[in-house]
Amino acid sequence: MALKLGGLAVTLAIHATLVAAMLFAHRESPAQAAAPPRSFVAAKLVRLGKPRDPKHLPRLETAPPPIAPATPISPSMDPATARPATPAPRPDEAAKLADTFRQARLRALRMGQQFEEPEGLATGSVNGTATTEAQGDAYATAIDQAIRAVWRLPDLVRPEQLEGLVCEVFLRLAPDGRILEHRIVKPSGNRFLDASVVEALARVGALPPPPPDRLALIRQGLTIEFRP
Amino acid sequence: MRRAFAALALAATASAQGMKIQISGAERARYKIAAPRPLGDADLAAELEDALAMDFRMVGLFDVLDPRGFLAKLDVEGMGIAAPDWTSVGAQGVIKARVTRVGGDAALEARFYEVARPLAPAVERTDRAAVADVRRLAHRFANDVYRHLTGEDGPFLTRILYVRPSGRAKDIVAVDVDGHRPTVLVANGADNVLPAWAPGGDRIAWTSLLWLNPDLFEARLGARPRRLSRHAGLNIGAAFSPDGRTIALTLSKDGNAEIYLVRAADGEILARLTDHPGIDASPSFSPDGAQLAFVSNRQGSPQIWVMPASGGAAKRVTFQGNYNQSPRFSPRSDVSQIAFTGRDERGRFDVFVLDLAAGTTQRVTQNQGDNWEPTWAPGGRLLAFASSRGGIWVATPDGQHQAQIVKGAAETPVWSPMRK
Repeated sequence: MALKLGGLAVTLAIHATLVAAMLFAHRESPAQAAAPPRSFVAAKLVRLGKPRDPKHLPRLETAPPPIAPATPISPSMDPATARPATPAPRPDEAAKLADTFRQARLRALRMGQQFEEPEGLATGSVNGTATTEAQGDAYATAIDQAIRAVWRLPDLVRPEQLEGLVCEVFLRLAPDGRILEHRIVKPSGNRFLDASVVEALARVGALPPPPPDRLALIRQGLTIEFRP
Repeated sequence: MRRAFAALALAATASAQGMKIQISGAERARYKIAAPRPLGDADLAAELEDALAMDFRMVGLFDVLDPRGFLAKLDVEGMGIAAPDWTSVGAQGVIKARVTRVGGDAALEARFYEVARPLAPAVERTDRAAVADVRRLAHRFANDVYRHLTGEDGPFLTRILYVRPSGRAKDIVAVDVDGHRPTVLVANGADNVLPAWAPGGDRIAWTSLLWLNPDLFEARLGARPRRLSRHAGLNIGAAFSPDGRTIALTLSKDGNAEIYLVRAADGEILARLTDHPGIDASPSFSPDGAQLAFVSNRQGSPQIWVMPASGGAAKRVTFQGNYNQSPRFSPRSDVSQIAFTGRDERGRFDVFVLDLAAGTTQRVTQNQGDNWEPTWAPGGRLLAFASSRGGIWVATPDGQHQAQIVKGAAETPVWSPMRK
């Protein structure tokens, strides 16, 4: 009998401890439940290897080329067919993003966790902060991507000479996105930056056509601030 | 081409005046320059074309376009340009020149056009030099274009001093930065090593075993050398102070290698700067003359140290690698950088740049043989160094651009001060 009572007392004590622990743990973590969802971070994976001895001199990821090659241009280029260089195709950022999400979801599954895809648009930017086209601007993102693909600043200008500079340009667009007119309304003061902007607009030639809800742009024009 | 700036930062606002967006994150690219064969005398034109191309290629800021791709009708264009033909091949700037023989001279008329503003040349020069000096005409015009584009003096008339083994002796040679016009400055059948330029570029100092002891010699260019410092033991590693009045020098007259300050005029000792049982050597002045970088093994391995040029407590500045030597302060006063030779954990010697303010070390060369003894170009945009690949090479401090400027055996290059 005493043994039964003792066993009961032990069981009760264990259960009471468990209940108290659960209550305590619950009270200690209300902030965790209320924490806002974390923003998405595109992380680089850590390479498998040995940590570098901090006493060693640094190594370059890729050794520099032995001799800088001259830029060859095809001698067969025909003046009649010569066109300004077309921009190199950019990697499909939307596809890359989808792949990142897929891998993150797989990792979460393996760890028995849930992965929530960040809200946004397939055509958005990884650095975008708005979640919908109404809050952000998918059309502005498309313009940004088109122009940055062709915008080049010469190495002649030291980075410190460009700090804080802005070149503002006003553009008029045709309904199909062609740039009908562009003029610098606020020059940056650095002729290389200003020239690079003019050259980028000449090279891009046309921007993505304005979507139906942005047709007013054709009448009103578009202003772009270039910040190197 | 590389992305030098942070990626996209974008904001868009819709207003009554239309839409406004911000775009940032331009890629950095070299300036594309075309230098077609000059008009006029064929031989001189070929030499001029070669010198211009070498100059602009060497500095790592330009892509010199291949003339085989040019679309312009050069004979029709003459000294002007038809912008669309140059835009089509991607040129941002075009050099047009005419060189003719006038007596024993070469007469140059040269223009530089920015393709975006083709109507008038941005830079023009008419010049004349002896036919043998036609490359100097190219260097002078290249300096004009460089100044126009960067706002800085160009390095194309500078020279590099180096040591050239010659049989059982070592000579001191000066060469133009395009590798042409090598001039033997010191050849006396003895070992002549570790040359240094005086700030004006009109005087050099070096150590010679001519009198069997490693003594310090000095000479004005073209004048008779004189022995400036002849203490028993080492008189080596001379570095002129920026005002040219003093020389920091390693002497071992008391048995151990220490750094002294001597008067440039007569070699008299003004001060002993280091006093330590370890070896102290290879001094280099900061551009303001206030600091001295040097090598010391006082904590075991050779490392770079910095001390006030007037003497005082020295501070160790390299902590990676166990064999760092030949420090050279960058001539730029807006940054505090020291280039040096380091031996990595694989036993390879390479060139590194230490940023004193940030405490970071950037590697310049890697997997390209051994590379030693860096020296800065005036302006600090380029480094030259000796390499086991042979000769002397130049590189941008980020190591992304390299070019060989001297072929054959060459040691301890020293870049001259700016020359116009």
